[in-house]
Amino acid sequence: MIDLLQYAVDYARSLGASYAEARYHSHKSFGITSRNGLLVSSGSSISRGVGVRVVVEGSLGFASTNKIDRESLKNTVEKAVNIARSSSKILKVKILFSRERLGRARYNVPQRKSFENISLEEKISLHKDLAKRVAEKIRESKLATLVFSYNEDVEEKIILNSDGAYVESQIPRVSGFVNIVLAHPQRGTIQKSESIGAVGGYEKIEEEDLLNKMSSLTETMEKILLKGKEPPKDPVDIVLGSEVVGLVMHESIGHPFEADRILGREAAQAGESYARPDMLGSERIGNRYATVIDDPTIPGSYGFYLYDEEGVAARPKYLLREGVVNEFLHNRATATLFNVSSNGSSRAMDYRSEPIIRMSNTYLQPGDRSFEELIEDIRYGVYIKSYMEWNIDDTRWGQRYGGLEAYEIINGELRDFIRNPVIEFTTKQFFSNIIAKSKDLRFYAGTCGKGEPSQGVPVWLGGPDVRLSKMRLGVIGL
Amino acid sequence: MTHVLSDLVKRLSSAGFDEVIISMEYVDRTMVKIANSQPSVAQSWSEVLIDLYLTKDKKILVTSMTTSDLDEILRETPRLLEQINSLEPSFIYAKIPEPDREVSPLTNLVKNSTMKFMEDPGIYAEILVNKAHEEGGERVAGALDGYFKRRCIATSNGFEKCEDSTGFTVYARVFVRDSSGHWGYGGSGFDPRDIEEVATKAAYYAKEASRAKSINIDPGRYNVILTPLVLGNFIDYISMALSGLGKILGTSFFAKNNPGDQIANEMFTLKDLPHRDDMMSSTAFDDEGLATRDNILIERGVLKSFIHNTKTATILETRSTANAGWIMPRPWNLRVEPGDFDEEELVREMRRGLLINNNWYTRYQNVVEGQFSTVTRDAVLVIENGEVAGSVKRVRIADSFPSLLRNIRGLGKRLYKTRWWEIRRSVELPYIMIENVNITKPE
Repeated sequence: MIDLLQYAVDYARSLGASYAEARYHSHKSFGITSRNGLLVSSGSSISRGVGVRVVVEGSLGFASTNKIDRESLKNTVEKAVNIARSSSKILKVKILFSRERLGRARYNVPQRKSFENISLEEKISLHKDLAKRVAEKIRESKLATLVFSYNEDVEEKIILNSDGAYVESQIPRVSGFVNIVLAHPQRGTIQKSESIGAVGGYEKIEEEDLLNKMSSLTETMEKILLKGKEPPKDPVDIVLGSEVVGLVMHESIGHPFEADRILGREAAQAGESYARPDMLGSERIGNRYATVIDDPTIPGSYGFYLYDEEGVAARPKYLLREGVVNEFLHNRATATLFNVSSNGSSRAMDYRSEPIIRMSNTYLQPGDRSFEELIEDIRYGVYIKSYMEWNIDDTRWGQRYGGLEAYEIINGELRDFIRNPVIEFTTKQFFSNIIAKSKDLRFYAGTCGKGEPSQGVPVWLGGPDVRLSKMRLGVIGL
Repeated sequence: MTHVLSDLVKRLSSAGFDEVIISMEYVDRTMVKIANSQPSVAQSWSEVLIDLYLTKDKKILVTSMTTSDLDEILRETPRLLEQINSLEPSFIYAKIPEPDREVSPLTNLVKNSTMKFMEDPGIYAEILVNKAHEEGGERVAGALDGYFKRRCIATSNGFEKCEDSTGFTVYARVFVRDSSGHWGYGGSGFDPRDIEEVATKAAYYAKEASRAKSINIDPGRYNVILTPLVLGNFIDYISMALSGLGKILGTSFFAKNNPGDQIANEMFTLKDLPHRDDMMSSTAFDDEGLATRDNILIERGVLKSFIHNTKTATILETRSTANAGWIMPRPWNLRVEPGDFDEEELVREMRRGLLINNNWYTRYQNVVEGQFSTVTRDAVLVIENGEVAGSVKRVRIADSFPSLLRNIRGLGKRLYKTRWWEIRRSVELPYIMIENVNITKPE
């Protein structure tokens, strides 16, 4: 394989490419989907091929094939070179990759409990047990639907480029998606989706304690459905749970700090950014509690990697440091334009995907309070522990989160359930209004979408519980 | 290609599977992405995608492989057999249907314009960029994307057919100062004028939003006109809710509805038209080998049919609409029937409200009720007395699809084949006016 990749790189260079890379990229996956414990379908997939990227006359070309032989790679290289040249006619700013010390490495993440060694019966019984445990918790409402998807995947890559990178890796991942809908004839319906995901083997599913978590969630959902009351109309103290906070970090700091987005490369797709190059090191968009980090090197994390697709070593990036814009996410092309070094943020979903700037595991640095300390002096407030939906504008400034599990806080104690609260704020409002943070850092799995064609890559979103100063809540449907 | 597939079907059948369907696609695709009025990347894909549908004792296994190596599939067979033996019968299982063996593949789906685009995409990128600037745009972003596809289906009960088609998409976001406008086109082929119209319409909305006074509006209920871009995004969700599987799984806001129910205003008719040679998802046969046909999904506001494959049709005791998807049925080309208004008349007719050019991030708050919110992007024009009185930024539609469908008050007479990053189905749609739509924004 290495010989073939080297051939592709050398051939591209011989055709006039100033830079060339070839990436062998494979995914071998298996998944099971059930509804209310009954199997809907089961599927496996193999995705395997080579993606070639070239710079020709300053223009970037990418081509891929899943026919892995010399002839096919020759055609693929020619195609990448030709289309790069074709589109160079209206090029104004040439692509130039930053000079970097590139990796020559091989790394594998072991599976403590290999997917292969766990029987299908055991994986299916997880679906049945989940449905049983969820159903047991329901008293007055009806389980409208419980959809559970289990997925395991092994990703293998060999990255080789004309600047000397050679990185080989194997990363196993396991993930699950649960959607629970409860219905009540008078109180309507309530819905919650949960995603779990980690790098490792089947042991990661066991560590998630899915059955207990979903059983407890179902019990809570029914209480919200039956007893939840409307959110207060006046501004109140707000505590946001780590699940909501993690999402805010991803959406309002992670995405807008992607340098390609800042430069307008995603303008017609995932959008632009409120962040500008001149904000670095000076612009304050939050207070001293606002430190946000993106770190691909967290062991076991869903967004784990040690080298990016350009062969640059991964490291933690302090995007926002104590409220001040500190660092953007870069690949080698944007690093040149910002006159910095790449921080290893180039990722591709699969062989047919162009490497682009992505997040990995993005989180708000935790504080030093216990949860009890966070709420102890709140006379009247609302704690929004989890969300059911959200959206954000395309510069990542105005955003809205619809809460699911939410409680009234009275005199420092959690009381009645609040149903369907909506919190809507700008990025600066959120980061300027943090009063305190808990010390509990929790992570949640997600699949982040970006690019054209759209690529989904695994990420973690994380943070502590956060107390905000007074804000007004809305209500879903009004 | 079909005899290779039918041989593979035979070999898989004799290995022990009860039913086998193979879908094989050879795809050749080229895309140029534009940002800051220049190409940011040119991309090309050439690949063979193979999907297998396998059953044994009512157990279902679906496998996808991006490989051109058929021997690899045969090497995988023992593992697939082991997998299917360990599964349990699927509650949605139904026997694969007697296929329509005599169906003729559509022969007019390959367009020269798209093939020419793939040979030299830079020329067409230049047309888009130049036109956007000519129309007053200060910068433009977007994409031009063309593909050739050969799709073959072979089943263990004797269906073997291949069909060739092309598809072309172009969309643009044009900026004028801090305002932007967006437009898109998608079809089997194109005329360079389609590319120019995309640039012109996007520039028009950018200029209108830029020219108009920036104003604030209060959250509340407004009459709105949605362009075909916004309607296209909504139709994606509405068509998903019309899937028979969504009804069976209870994940559709139409789950409690049945054919005959009034679910939309009577001026709304939605059809699925699989034989249109100018649209990009046309086909003569579905993934089960059934001959496709035109289907009316909603007629004058009345639900006429869910979208079915054999499984969902069997459970719901009806006939397949030939929209397989082995597990999830899917529509081919969706068309909303036009109304009587030209676009200026719609604005005058509405008198007061918002004209929304584009949206994204549509998310359900409650999928069973169809409650969602979506963020507007690009131009949102405030209309007073039938004229543009201002523009507004960062508002959301937070409403429910059933409510929007009931509150339709007008449709444009021109249909647009539109497509972009947030519209992934082949659609042909008019402008639409809806009253009493809930609009929210941050304080």
